[in-house]
Amino acid sequence: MADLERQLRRYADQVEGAVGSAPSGPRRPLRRAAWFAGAAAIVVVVAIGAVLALSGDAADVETEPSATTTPAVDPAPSSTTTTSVAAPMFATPDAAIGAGPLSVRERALVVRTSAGVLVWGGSEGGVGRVDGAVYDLASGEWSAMAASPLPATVSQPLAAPVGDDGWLITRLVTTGPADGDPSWSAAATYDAASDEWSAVPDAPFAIADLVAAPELDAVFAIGRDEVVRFDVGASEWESTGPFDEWEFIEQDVIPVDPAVDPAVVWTGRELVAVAGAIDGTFPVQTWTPDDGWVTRGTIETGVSQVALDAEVVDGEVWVVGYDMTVHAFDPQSGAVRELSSLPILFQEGSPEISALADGRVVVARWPGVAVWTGDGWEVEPMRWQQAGTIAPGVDGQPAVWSYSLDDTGATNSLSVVALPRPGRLAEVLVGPIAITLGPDESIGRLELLPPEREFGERGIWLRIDHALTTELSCSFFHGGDAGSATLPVVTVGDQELEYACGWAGVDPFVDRMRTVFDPEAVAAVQSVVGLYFDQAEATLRNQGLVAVVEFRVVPFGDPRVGLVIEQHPAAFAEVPVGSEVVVVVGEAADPEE
Amino acid sequence: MTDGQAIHVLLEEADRRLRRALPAAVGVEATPDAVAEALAWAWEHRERVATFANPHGYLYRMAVNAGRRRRREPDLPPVDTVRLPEVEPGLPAALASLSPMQRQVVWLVHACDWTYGETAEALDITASAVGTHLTRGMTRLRTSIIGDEDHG
Repeated sequence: MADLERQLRRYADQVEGAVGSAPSGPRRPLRRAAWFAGAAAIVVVVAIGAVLALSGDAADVETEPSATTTPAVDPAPSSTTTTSVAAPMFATPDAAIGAGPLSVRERALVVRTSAGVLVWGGSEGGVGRVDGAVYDLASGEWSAMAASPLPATVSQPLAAPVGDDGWLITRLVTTGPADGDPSWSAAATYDAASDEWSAVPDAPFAIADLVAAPELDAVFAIGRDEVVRFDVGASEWESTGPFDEWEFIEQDVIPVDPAVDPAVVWTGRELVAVAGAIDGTFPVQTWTPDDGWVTRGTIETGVSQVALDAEVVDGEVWVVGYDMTVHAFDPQSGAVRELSSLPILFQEGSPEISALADGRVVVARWPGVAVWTGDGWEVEPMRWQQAGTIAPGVDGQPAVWSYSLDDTGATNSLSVVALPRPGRLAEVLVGPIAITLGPDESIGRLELLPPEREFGERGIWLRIDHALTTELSCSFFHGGDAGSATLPVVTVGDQELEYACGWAGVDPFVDRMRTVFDPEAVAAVQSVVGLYFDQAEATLRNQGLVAVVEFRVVPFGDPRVGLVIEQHPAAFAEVPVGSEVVVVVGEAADPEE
Repeated sequence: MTDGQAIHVLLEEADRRLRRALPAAVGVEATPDAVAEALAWAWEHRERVATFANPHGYLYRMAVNAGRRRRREPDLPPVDTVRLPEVEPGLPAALASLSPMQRQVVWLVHACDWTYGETAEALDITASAVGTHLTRGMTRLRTSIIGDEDHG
């Protein structure tokens, strides 16, 4: 079957043509009086037509637009032309393209060029690679890149766009493993259109990050305690001057890891740099050609952070910390505000925040991806083991391009993963485990029940409203460990299933799942007042509801200790299956109080 | 651009978007009048409409309400298989088999290229719910058109 989304668009073209000549521009309709007179009829229709009575229908059209979907920061653009608004990020299918002509390697540079994907460098077994290849999206063919003047070091190359289709590529060179051994970054430019490299002077320090500033025809190279501007036209490095103040977390390992260096972005008018700090206080500094470096404010987290990333979002600079806090800095006013933190689900690697072309904001950090909803983050499991570059995918859809090793480390594959995928993780209710679903979107509604045996921090609920598939991929992590497994699901229907999800070296644990094939169901909340919490939780769970516990202190010796005192919503209230029910549990006061 | 010109541009854009978006909710026959009523209201309240962050979503809801007074089920035309050989002939029936919410979400997002935010505003649901309804709807569409044996 041809792409269903495309069929819908084509069919909609036909339907739109069949609508006929609706009046263009405003006019007073002949039936306006009838419309208001019919308001009562609308209410009746909504009441008796259950199929038509959508949960959000505004029978009262005079009310203000709903505020529930009005975000504090709305990155979604107000589209004025439907043809220019890309469909949400779900049209690009996952694709494993293959290794191409390159030998096995890891940590290669992967960038999305105008015509395809460039893969260069990397290392294998401690040996740096200096070859590369370009994958052409139109032809589906690989072509080897010209020989590069960059050295064969093991560090992962960095790149920033220059000119129309060029890249400034740098690679760290170290003279020894000890702290203090000199290091610098070799640099070269590569023109993707002509497949030509041009040598440029080495950067005078170890570059941790590159930030393109096309308005200045420059690239800023970020180091440990300085920022140097590379003038593209003159092919020269020029210091921007020292920062006002930095406090860096000491590290023992060289080469420089971008995760421990400041986050720097170019807003179009100024550089904004946020440095890591030991005491959780981050200076926020801006640089302009006229004013140089100026300290504009601070971000307070109280936590030492070793990894930061920043992105320009609607004129603000959003900064993601290693602890998943998110702050927004306004370069115009100097104000800093804190946004909702990302779920604790993310624990591995460094965060990467990106503002996509369609206005959405995405944070990628294995094993998950989060999308800003306007007042919080929605989580998606990430299915690639090594983050690549977030860039347009096929047909311009945002995607992650990754040139990754397989599990055996024997082969590479260039893959593109649409970012993110809907419905793969409808809701993570409790806990650190994420469940990814198989490639088939026909996936069943699942409730992951508490395990039969203890395995550390568990008690995860996950509800995914889809039809059941025959394969369930499980990704998870607990503490610092992570793993994945493919789980066979051999039966469908309203029954409990057993599956195992574990990783090598640890006994697999067994969980129970119950499939529920009534995604439109409404449950009449049972009364759980007077039950112990575990009984209440089980009762509500059997209804497809989720118990959320709150504690209330009761006098010492009160018989309500440990029992549910209140519940919200109250018993017999009809709520959609999957809703949360708050249960207030009595907690004993300190006998000495 | 003056305020008067701006509202005209807005309403012309709304006219075009609603004529494409509404048929899945109210049917082809009811769409023109429903759009007219919504635009007329928008014109009479143009100062207020000009302040909306997402006027198209609001006008969509208004037009749907207006259109449903005329018809209970959307009448989607059969596929013109001569002009659109790549479109499954069973698509209109498959769309009709969806719940109204799923059908509208699928139509707005995939047929009309509305963003999740715009769709959520139009249907007065959360963006998360848009994703849920979209996936359910697309799954049911595929199942309805090609059957279980060809799934995936």
